[in-house]
Amino acid sequence: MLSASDRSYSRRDSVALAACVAVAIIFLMLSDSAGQAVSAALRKSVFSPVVWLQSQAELGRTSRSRFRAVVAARDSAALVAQTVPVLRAENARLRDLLTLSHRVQTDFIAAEVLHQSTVSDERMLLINAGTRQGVSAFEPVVSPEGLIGVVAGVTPTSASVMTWAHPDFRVSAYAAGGRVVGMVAPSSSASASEASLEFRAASYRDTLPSGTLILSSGLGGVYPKGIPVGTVTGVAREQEGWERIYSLRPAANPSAAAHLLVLSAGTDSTIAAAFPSDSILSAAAADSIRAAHAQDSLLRVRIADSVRAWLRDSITDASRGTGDASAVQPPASRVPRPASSTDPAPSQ
Amino acid sequence: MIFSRANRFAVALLVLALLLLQYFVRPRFIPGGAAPDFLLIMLVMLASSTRPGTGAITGFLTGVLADALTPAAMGASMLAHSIVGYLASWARAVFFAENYLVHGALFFAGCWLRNLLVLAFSGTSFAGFLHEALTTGALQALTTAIAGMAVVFVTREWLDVRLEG
Repeated sequence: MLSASDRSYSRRDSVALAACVAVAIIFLMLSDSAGQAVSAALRKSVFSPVVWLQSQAELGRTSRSRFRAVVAARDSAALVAQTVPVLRAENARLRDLLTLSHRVQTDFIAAEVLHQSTVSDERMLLINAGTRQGVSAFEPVVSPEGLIGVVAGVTPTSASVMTWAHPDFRVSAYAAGGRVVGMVAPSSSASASEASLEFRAASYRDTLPSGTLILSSGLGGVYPKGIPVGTVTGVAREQEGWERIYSLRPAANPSAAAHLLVLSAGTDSTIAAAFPSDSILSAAAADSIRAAHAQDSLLRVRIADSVRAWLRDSITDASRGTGDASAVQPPASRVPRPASSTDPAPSQ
Repeated sequence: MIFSRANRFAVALLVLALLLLQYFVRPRFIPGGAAPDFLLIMLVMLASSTRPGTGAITGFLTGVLADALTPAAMGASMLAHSIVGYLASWARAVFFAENYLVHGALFFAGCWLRNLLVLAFSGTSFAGFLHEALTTGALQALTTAIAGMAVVFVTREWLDVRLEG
């Protein structure tokens, strides 16, 4: 049996529950917009600390995920950055090859070197062009720097190239200027890792200073005239009285070659123009700089003309308005004069 | 579980800690719908130490907080939490034996009932109601029961909770 106070408490509890349920139902019956307005007002006022707490938690969670994304992006960028030097080098070589292909006036076939990781890789190269692309045996192979070698064997899809480092390699050559003619062959004394060339059978009475460029002579029926072979670095040895042998620094490095050109025009043509000396290249660069400067001065003249026209229009408008053109005349020193001005030259 | 008048400060600290767990720790470290509901743990712990009327009012205020911060139907959480608060307080009088299992069962039943009531009052479709009630809702009730028992275990000395066995 419940006491009076217990019954009173029970009644109050029921009333409290009923009131809470009634208020909740009233809120449930409100329209969505009204309910949203009430909840927004609560979030802005009494529950703002809770909202702030929740937003901080969300910020922390998204910060962690953002950090992971940034770390992943950084790792990807680092991975890509590792390949950038290789790509730059390849890009530079391709640009060189592209300019060489523009300079070469004869027929050629572009090929890619399929390097093998063997000790004999430098002596024989495998390229990805064969008879299907038009490659034949005994055709010279060049890189942008100079002579690489000659095609030794051909299959339909590939060809093997005997480079200048091969012991059997020979090319008839002459020193720039045409005074001394001889034969270039790989150095017999150099090790495989330090392969170099020798300019043999040079007449004893002539001397070649260090730095002299050695070019293919076109004799022998394989190599056209004018391909750089190497540069004289000094006298290797002498055969007293009749021969002087010079050591050469090779013009092109077969182990570093990635893209090559196979020349297929025969030996009756010369490709000396395709390998201009440094002075020719620097002259061409200077010409391009002069051309750029000339374009720049033309641009300045055009700007000056447009400014002058604008000033003339302004003066005309002002003279119509005030009748005094000199009031708006700009100082002469501020008006740029065109290069094609026909004003008389100042007296000396 | 009855809180004495002397440890009201401890109760206030518990409420703050549970609010921190609910609105800072849980969204940051325990994402997902099955994460334990520390707000309901707070409600059940507070309601079971008071009279049913006070429990209903506590539930109503808890529901106001939940409704303000949850984009569901305004009033659904108020109604559900009021009923759960009232029943939690009433159940304390029914289940005289107070041990971890009884507390766990209270947390589980309170959370599941709250989820069912909120789903029902917020106009969820029958298929959605069944799916939520039997999967996420039940799972959240389970995790809430486990977390609630852990909270009772940690605070039993602090809050002077009288546990039997």
